[in-house]
Amino acid sequence: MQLAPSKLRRRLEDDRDEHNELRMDMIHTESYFNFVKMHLLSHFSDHIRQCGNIPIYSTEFGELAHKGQIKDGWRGVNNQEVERQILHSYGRLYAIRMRLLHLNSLRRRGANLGDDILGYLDKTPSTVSTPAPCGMILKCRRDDVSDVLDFCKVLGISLDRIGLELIRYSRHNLPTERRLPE
Amino acid sequence: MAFPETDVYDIYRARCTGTHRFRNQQSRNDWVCVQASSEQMYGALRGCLPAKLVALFKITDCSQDTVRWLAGVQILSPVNSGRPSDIHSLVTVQLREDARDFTLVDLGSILGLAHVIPEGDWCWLVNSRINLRTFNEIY
Repeated sequence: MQLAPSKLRRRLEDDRDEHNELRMDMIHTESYFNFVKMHLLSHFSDHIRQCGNIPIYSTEFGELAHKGQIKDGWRGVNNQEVERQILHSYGRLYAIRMRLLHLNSLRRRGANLGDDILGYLDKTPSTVSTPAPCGMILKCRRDDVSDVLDFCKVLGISLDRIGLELIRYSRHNLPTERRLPE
Repeated sequence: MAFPETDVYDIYRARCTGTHRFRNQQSRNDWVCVQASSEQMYGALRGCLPAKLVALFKITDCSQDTVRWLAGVQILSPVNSGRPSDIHSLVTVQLREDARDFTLVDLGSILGLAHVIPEGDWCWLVNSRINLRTFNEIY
């Protein structure tokens, strides 16, 4: 039996609605989004409206913590009470690092530590790594600034102001023979 | 250094475009933390003050063949001696009218980036919740 176009359209719409309801039921029964990461998304817009965004900060802390705290901790567990073991493992490592820092600090101040402790500290690599060599690079240098006058013009600050500031800086940071005259 | 790790560094880029536009948007002059005094000063800020980058440049001493990396900044002053507010536990800073609009500092005295939240006229709140290191140092 052939249906009229209007009836056919209504039936197709009913079928589509029914299909959508079925699909939503399946999604709701087989999955859920009730976890912290999804919940936090609901607060982001309000937070940014109130406080402004933080364009200079990345979200890599979470990623880094996931590797250092969770994945490294996971490798040392025996699949029994995993969460507790990971937390204990990280807490223990952190406590040891703090203890070593305290001992190194006491040693630098000349405290009387036992020979066994001193020997252990000598064998243990330092918990404080040396900073990487400073690699400051000024990028995007401006071609329209060749001298201090251009510098003043670009910044919109008077030459007197810059001059005074250079004199003040030289008095505080340079040796006496290199200071700028008043 | 990333707190509390002792061998991990976080690298942030401080951008200062001066009056130039940044990616076809308005100019960008980031807020930074400057070690302006000893740790006993400015209460919870412990000698650090937020400042706005105005210029980054270097000066070459041709006679000694040395280079100094400098930053021109606009330093803010702490309100209430840097004591955190009882309400929101954040430190308020302000731009005083008699403050210098351009202060030269060594690039090494810039400790890192700062996040300040505007609050009223020429007042800002120093956000200490941006990372664990800042949260540990400003309280």
